[in-house]
Amino acid sequence: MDFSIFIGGQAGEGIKRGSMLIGKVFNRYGYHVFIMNDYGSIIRGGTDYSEIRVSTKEIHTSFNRFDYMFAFHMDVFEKYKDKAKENCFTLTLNDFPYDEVIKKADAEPFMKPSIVLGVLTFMLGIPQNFVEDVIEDDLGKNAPKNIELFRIGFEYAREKNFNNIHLIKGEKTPKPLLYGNDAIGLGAVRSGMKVYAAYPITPSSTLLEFLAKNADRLGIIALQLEDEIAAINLALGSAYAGVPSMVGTSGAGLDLMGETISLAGAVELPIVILDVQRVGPSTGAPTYTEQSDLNLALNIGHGEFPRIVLAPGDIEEAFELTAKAFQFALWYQTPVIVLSDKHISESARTTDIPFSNNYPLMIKTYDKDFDGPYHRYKITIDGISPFAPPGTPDVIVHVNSTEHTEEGYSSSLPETLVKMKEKRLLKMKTIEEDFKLMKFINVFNEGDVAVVSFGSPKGAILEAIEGFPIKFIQVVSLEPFPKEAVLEEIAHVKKIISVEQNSFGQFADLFERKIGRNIDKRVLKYDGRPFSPWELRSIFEEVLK
Amino acid sequence: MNLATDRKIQWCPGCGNFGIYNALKSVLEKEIEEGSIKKENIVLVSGIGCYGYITNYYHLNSFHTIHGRVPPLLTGIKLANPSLIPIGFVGDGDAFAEGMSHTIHIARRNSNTKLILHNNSVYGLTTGQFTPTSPKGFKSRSTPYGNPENPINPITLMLVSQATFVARGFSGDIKHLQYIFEEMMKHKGFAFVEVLQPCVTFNNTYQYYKERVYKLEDTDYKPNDFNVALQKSLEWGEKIPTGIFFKNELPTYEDLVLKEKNLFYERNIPDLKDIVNEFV
Repeated sequence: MDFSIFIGGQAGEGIKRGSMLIGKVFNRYGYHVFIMNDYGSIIRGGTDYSEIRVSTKEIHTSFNRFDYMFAFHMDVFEKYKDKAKENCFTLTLNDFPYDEVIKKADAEPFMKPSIVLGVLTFMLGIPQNFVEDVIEDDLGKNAPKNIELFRIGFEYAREKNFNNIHLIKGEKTPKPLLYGNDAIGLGAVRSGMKVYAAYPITPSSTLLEFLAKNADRLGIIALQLEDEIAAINLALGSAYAGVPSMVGTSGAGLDLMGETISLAGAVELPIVILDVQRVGPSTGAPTYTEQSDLNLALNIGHGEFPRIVLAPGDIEEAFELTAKAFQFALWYQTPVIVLSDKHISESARTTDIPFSNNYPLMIKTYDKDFDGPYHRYKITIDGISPFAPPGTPDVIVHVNSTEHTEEGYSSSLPETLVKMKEKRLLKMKTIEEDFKLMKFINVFNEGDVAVVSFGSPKGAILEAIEGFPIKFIQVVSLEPFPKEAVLEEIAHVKKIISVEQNSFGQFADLFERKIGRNIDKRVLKYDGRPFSPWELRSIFEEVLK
Repeated sequence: MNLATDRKIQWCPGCGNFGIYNALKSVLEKEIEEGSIKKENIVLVSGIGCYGYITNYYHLNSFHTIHGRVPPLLTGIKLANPSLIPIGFVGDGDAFAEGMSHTIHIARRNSNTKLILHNNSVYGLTTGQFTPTSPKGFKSRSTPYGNPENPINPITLMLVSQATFVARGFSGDIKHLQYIFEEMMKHKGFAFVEVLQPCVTFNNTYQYYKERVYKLEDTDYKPNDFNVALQKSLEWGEKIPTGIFFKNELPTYEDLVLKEKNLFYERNIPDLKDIVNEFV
């Protein structure tokens, strides 16, 4: 059993909130759920929709073909009706007076999805009281009105005798139905983040909102600053003072953070930077997904300094990699960039997040007896100097953006420049060696054709290769690039297909440069919409012929 | 107690930075000796300009950062560990060109930090271009025919940005500067001190200021009325007021944001079970 529900309407009609409610119902009814929100960069009007995909087996992405279509307006239906599967059930404004019902019930337009839930509940034979309990639980003070609308939908479906199947209660234990940004926030907190600073930008703002709302119970602060530059500098100030800190933004904001990322590299302070990618260049299409900041993440900041770039492929990995990003940032004392995208951050999925895992923050601490007088940039065998925050008695911490001596004093003598550049090179080498041991690739399936990719296409690829002799290699760490691990995996592979969501093939280029082997087929998508499993499947089928 | 490091100070002889450096040094040395502040809790943050090297010359925690970004760094440090005392140095370029917005925002937030403006109205380190505080008509290397812009008035700007401590000193009067810095150290909330300073190489205003500055403390001026302060801030010409224009105690940004949290000491990782269950 695997079906997708489409709810389309205008901004302000509760599409996103409603799809979450419906998702919760199916989650608690024992099914796997994936929710994808497709919306415009406007507050009212437009043609938004959400897909709620429900399945007995684990699902990784939206399907982009629908079994049920509910449309509060005709334009949104017209726009997407070709995505209807054969025998798709539709209930549009032409069939049902959504607006009148809302008016009559003295309800709000954003409650329309509750009518949909009523219709679905009848059609799928889910016990009415089971669903009402979920509404009660989820909507609090808005529940009574929504239950009223739910019942109207339910009764309408019964009167019309819409074909009724009996969806038995699934066997899966309900799991958290998390948006990617929620998972990122939880991962950060789990590994000890205390300061989150940001400037609102889609699709990263929901993380700021989640953390701000829960700041007190999480023992953190989540702040909105005057711009991305202030955000990252505030976070860096906190990091310097010894508190794990993070910023979140999207491409345009990452551009603004560039000078401070270079600063963090130069002064050797830990900072985690989240980039939730969206369609660029420039303002682009702010609410749609893309993976076009890869080159930016790998290169942002002038000068040369060690960095780590990690790309989660799904919501579970978003939690885990954000937590690990803090471990790396604090141990190596350098910027770590987490590359998410709109499809991960603003989609929700029933997720097994390892929320009770520990991600201890290891810090190379200063020991007076062993290290001697405190030197912020002391030369060591691995390029990592002992860290001490200001406020430590008998310690003076000189942090310096100008090239500096081991003590942290400004100096542009040739020997100082060479010494510090080689210190940072050594640190980079240490990171590379450590990362070799951690591998940082995920490999699925076997075959003599390999699909290579990174980030959010993971979900669609996993479904697309089912039953095919195709090996899928997901690169998790883009910098350092897991060269040895990839080489080992492709040793007996005859053909390599790359999959990524941009028009230049940034990942394919990186892969070829690092691995020294050509990609045989580059699959690029750049329409802002996530890959669909069936779309990739037909491409793979073609290659296998 | 001597806070000087062994670094050789590399400013031109007669540079206004010396006055600021020495005045603050003696104030901090005195306070550390008296035990009113702990040496390890002082954090100096400087931006970019000749003055920026100042952090090399104090044996105190420091962060010599990039141009214009001193204010958010100060706030980040204070939020992370409220025991720390962040003191920022900025030039007129940091404060009003590259980092203008941060200067306004830190003031209106009333972040419990201190900001000392080295105002010499010229870019010394880049060898003599005009700045946002250069007078109209000022001939500089980048305005050979005269500056077409109107200068910013730092005192007025900080007052309307709701800074809770606004003062002006003159680097040629170290005793008076010490008094202002002492008051600055006492203030809880955002403290802004403009220091008029000559650049002996590119804009030597020493005589100009010496003939014009007077002290507000020598008059019957009281720094407790915003409207009076605003009016006073506009006085510039034959007479230039120095001293404390305005002070007022209000809740700080850190108090409001932290709500008693201490992010530095409270390192327990919260149990996420409850919050995760809300997503089921």
